[in-house]
Formats: sequence, structure tokens, C-alpha cells
Amino acid sequence: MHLIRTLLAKDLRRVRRNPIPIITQIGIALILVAVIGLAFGEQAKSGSGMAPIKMAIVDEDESFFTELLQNSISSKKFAEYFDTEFLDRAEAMERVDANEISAVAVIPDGFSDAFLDGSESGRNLELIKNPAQSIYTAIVEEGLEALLTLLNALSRNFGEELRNWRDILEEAEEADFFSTVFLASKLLGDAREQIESARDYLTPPLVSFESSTRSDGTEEEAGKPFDLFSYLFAGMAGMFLLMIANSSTNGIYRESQFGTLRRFSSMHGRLLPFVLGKMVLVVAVTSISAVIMFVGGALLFGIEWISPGKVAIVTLAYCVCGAGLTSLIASIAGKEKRADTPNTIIIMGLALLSGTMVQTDALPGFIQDYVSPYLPTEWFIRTVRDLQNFDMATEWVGISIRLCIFGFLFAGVSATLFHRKILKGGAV
Amino acid sequence: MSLLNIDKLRKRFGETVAVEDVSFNVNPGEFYGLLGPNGAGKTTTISLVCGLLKPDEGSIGVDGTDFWSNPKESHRLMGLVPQDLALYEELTGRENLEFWGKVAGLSRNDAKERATELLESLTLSDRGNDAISKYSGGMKRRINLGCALMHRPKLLLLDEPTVGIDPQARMNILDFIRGLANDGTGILYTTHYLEEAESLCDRIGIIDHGKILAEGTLADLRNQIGHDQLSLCWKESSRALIGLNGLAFKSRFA
Ligand SMILES: Nc1ncnc2c1ncn2[C@@H]1O[C@H](COP(=O)(O)OP(=O)(O)O)[C@@H](O)[C@H]1O
Ligand SMILES: [Mg+2]
Repeated sequence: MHLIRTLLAKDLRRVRRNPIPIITQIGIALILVAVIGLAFGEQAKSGSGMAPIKMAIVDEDESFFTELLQNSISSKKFAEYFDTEFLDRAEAMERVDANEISAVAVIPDGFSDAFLDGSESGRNLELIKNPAQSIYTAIVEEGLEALLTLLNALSRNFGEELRNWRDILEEAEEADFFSTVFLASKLLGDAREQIESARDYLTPPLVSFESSTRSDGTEEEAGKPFDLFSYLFAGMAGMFLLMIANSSTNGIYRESQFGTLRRFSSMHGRLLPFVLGKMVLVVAVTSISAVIMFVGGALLFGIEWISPGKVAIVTLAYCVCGAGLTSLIASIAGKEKRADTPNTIIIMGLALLSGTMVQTDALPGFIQDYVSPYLPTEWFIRTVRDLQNFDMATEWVGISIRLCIFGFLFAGVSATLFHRKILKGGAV
Repeated sequence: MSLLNIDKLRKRFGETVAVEDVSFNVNPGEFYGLLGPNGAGKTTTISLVCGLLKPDEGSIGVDGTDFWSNPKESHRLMGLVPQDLALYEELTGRENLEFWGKVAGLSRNDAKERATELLESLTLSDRGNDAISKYSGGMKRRINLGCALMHRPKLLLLDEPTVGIDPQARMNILDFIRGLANDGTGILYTTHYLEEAESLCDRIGIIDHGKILAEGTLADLRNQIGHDQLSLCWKESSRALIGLNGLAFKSRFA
């Protein structure tokens, strides 16, 4: 303990003499928040959560799809994200020009027939984006792309069945709303097993929504409005904090470059105190960055952190874990220059597999089952998201402890690897 | 009893045999010089002695105990002055000294006192509060040496501590080290300057290609070749020891 304090005091003194690297690292957090803030624009400030994306659907096909579509978009879950109305083309364009809506999706005449018959032409949906609202349209676009992938997969795998169902559906056009829903759900229900296995390997949307059965009316009561900003924010924090940890772990490379790591090793052998001392500093830098990011998130995006205390503890634990992890990476990677790119890739990869950009349940099935649940990044991101959306009684405590334990475990392994490298005479 | 007892040390890096069958010992108060050209295996030997490397074979006895049976105590008995400076440039000379002293286990006050003492004897008192980055090469070397002395080691390991500094500064450092030996510290010193070894060392081991080629006091070495004057010639291209004042050693050690 005495030793760790000595090591830390030395580093703090060095930081005081030359604060620029650390200011840069913490500055990254500020810049990130600012950039994200600018990207999301003014809308971000209005209230917690994000206002639903306004979009229009121009249905020139007017087939049974219209009913299905209407049903889907009126579902509660969907309505949280999208404020949709059916318009004709001219009207929709006017609204785009007036900057009142973000995007227009056009279902061309003959789309459903072309889709069911599997013909190549006439199957293109059209998306008209409002250039003034690029982030929202990006979300819509991604959603649409995913929808198309799904439709294509359906047509490829269930083409025959779909065609058989067309007549029934066509009849239903006359029928009332509920029977349409009933039929649609029956169709989906019959094919469920096949769909279930296929779905895992498709790419559902960024903001996923349920398009499945709503016939029995026992739809789950949605709790608080889903807070998209905090959702995205947690993911980004998960990644950026790791990046900041990585760049402040660079101090270890410097020490090995200056020979001070070897000198330490010549006096102590075991390097655990050394790694722990560095870790404390990294945790301090990342925690400060985290505070900036989370407070910035609250100010810029109007995110109301529902349990700020719990989020803070989980984040601190995550910083411990991240510091251990980056020092482990450093002990594997060797020289700083050589490590730079791989480290960034590792961190980005971890972040992506942990649902930074997309929800984990939008990742391929085997990753969802066998990779994501074992990643500390995922524990952190999920916990922050869950804390924002549900009441988590105690699970967050366990996760915080787990994150810390893993952080120290990583540090231990890292120290052992560093020591082993020195003993073997390799470049440290 | 020897302070340092090295027996049949061997270390290879992949195909390269860096140290082979090296044995020697250093007594308290003795100034032992390991003399050899670049790549001879000097740094490897020193690293093995202080536990920075683990030997493939052989043993290292420190004050009567095997190094690896009690590394902690062995570390405490030794001070390493690495070949390359190992200092924090942002910190002052004093802060570097105090830091390494505390790492070696000194209390805050002891570290402070000892740093003052060493700054004095290294003639750096007036520059103790300047950052290392403002020091000249010779001053950095002196602090580098001082850091290893904070905990008053019984055995001081010096790996070419005078490389790249002017003759005046070199003399200062060497005098200082000689003084430590006179006070009872065992010194293991590597160099590729014959005249340094000749003027300072009580005993010299001549090392090349990882092997000790000749060992003994200056007088021993002179007797072995039958001349009053020692001179060494390193043939740089092959790094081979091709002669010790003539051909006497060549026939003997080739
Ligand atoms: N870490 C290492 N990995 C591989 N080879 C090494 C390593 N350290 C030293 N060597 C090799 O071992 C030999 C002895 O090196 P060294 O002990 O540094 O010599 P000296 O200090 O006498 O100049 C050289 O051939 C060198 O290339
Ligand atoms: Mg050397």
C-alpha cells in the first residue's frame, strides 16, 4: 500500500509538471460530448427521451400491406420512436420542404405483388430523406434497410407460403381491422419456428421494434417512455471510456521505454504494485472523463439520470475494470507504436460486441449467446441502460463488484505477463 | 565469504548464446570489472545477477543465499545502475532519488536525508531541485547512480555507467565509485574501456561471446602474458578478442 502510494504520488507529480497528456485525455471526453451534442442538434435538449421521429408513408400500392403497415405503426412500441402518418406524395414533399418531417417512405405501386411473386423489378421501397435532420434519417434508413433484409429473407425462404396466404389476405382487405391482424398473426405464428431460426442471423434495425402479433390485446404495458438518448449514450460511454483508459495506460509504455519499469523490476521482481499504481491514475482520469460525459449528457441532451448514484458506482467499477483491461492489453502488446492500432481495434470490437452502437439483441445469435454476455463492456452498458429504464434492486451491486474483481484480475495477469517478459529478456 | 558468487551461469536468447559458463565472485569492498566489447554478454550477466533475467543454468549466490530462493532479500542487498538512464525527466534530481529510495523501502524522512547526503557527495546539491530534463549528460549519469545507492546496497552493479560523457565527469564518477568500494561495498562493474578497468579494478574478468576468457588481478593477468603492459584489441567486425598484447592469449584461449 505504501509502495502504491509512492508510485502514485510520483505520477501525480509528473502530471503536475506536464499536464498536457492528461488534459488531452480528459479533453477527449469533453470534445466527444460536444460533438455528439452538435450532431443531435437542438431537439436533444427538449425533455428527457427523444421526441418520436416524424415520418410519412406514401402508400401507392394500396394493397393488404397498407393494413398491415397501419397496424404495425400504430403499435405502442413503434409509436415511441416514430410519429408516422399516411400522406400522398405531394403532401409529403411539402412537409419535408417545410422541415416538418424527417423522412418519407414510399411504397411503390405493385410492390406487394412484386414482392410475393419474387420478381426483380418493382420491389424497391423509396426513402426520401430530409437533409436537415441527418441523424434521424440515418436511424430511419437503418431501420428500413433492416426491414428490407427481413422482407428479402422472407421472400426467399417462405415465398411459396406467402403466396398461398395472399388470397386470404386479399379477402381480408374488405374485412375489419382486427381480422386482418388476426390473419397476419396466424401467418407469422405458423412460420414462427422457421423465422425464429432465421432471425438470429439477420440484422434487425438500430432501433428495433416488434412487428409481430398483437392480436390478443395482452400487450405489455410500456413503462416509462423509452429514453433513446441515454440508451445511445451509455453505449458510447462504454466505448469512449475504454479508449480514454487506453490512452492513459500509455504511461506504462513510457515507463518501459525510459527503463524505469526495468529498474523497478530490478528492485522488486513482482510488478503488481507498479501496475496497480498506474491503474489508480488511469481510474482517476477515466472517472473524471466519465463525470464530464455523464454530466454533459444531462446538460446537453437533457438526459435525466434516474439513479445517478448507482450509475456513478457502476461507472467507477467499470473504470477499474477498464484500467485493468487496458493494462492487460499493454502487457500483451509490447511497444506503444506497435500497440496503437491493435488496441483501438480491440476496444472498438469489444464495444461493438457489447452493444455500443446497436442493441446486443440485434447482433448475430451466437454472439448474443456466447460472446456478449461475457464481456465486461456489455455488463456496464447494459446495467447503465437498465438502471435508466427499470428499477434494479440489487443486480447493479453484483455487477459493480464483478467489474472490480475482473479489473484486479486483469491487473494481476498483466503484472505477471510484464514480469515474465522481462525475465525472458524480451522487449517490455 | 563472497558477497556475490556466480557459478556456471548460462543464458540464451533463441539461437544466441549470450552468456555461457560464466563463473566469478565478488567480495565485500572489492571492485570487480567485467571487461568486454559490445555484445560480449556484460549486460546479460548483470541482468542475471540482479534477477531481471532468469538463468537457463547456473546459480547466483548473494551473501550466501541463492538469489531465487529469496529474491526479496537479494534485491534489497543490491543496487543496479542500468546502462541506459532510468529516470523521470519531469521530476527533479532530488525527487528521483527520493522516489527510488522509497521504492527500495526507505521511509519518507530517511529518503529525504539520504537524498541530501547523496546530492552532496555527487556534487549536485545546487542542482537538486532542477528537473532532470535540464541536466547535462554527466549530471544525469550521477543521479542515475545515486538512485541505486539510496538504500545503501552491499553490492552495487554498474553497467557501463560512464558511456557517453566527457572525461572530467567520468573521472568524478569513477572516483566516487572507488570510494564506495573503499568503504566496503562490493562492486560489479562492466566496461569496454581497458584503461578504466586497469586503473580501478581489483580484479578483472575478460568476457567475449558470453565466455570469461581470462580472470584475475591486474598482476595475474600480466603474469599470464609475461608483459608489464596490458593492451587489448577488439576486432570490431567479429568482436573477437584477437590479442592481449601480442599473441600470448590467442594461443591460450582460442
Ligand atoms: N533480450 C535479448 N534478446 C535477444 N538477444 C539478446 C537480448 N539481450 C542481449 N542479446 C544478445 O546477447 C548478446 C549479449 O548482449 P549484451 O549482454 O547486451 O552485451 P553487452 O552488454 O556486453 O554489450 C548479444 O549478441 C545480444 O545481441
Ligand atoms: Mg551492455
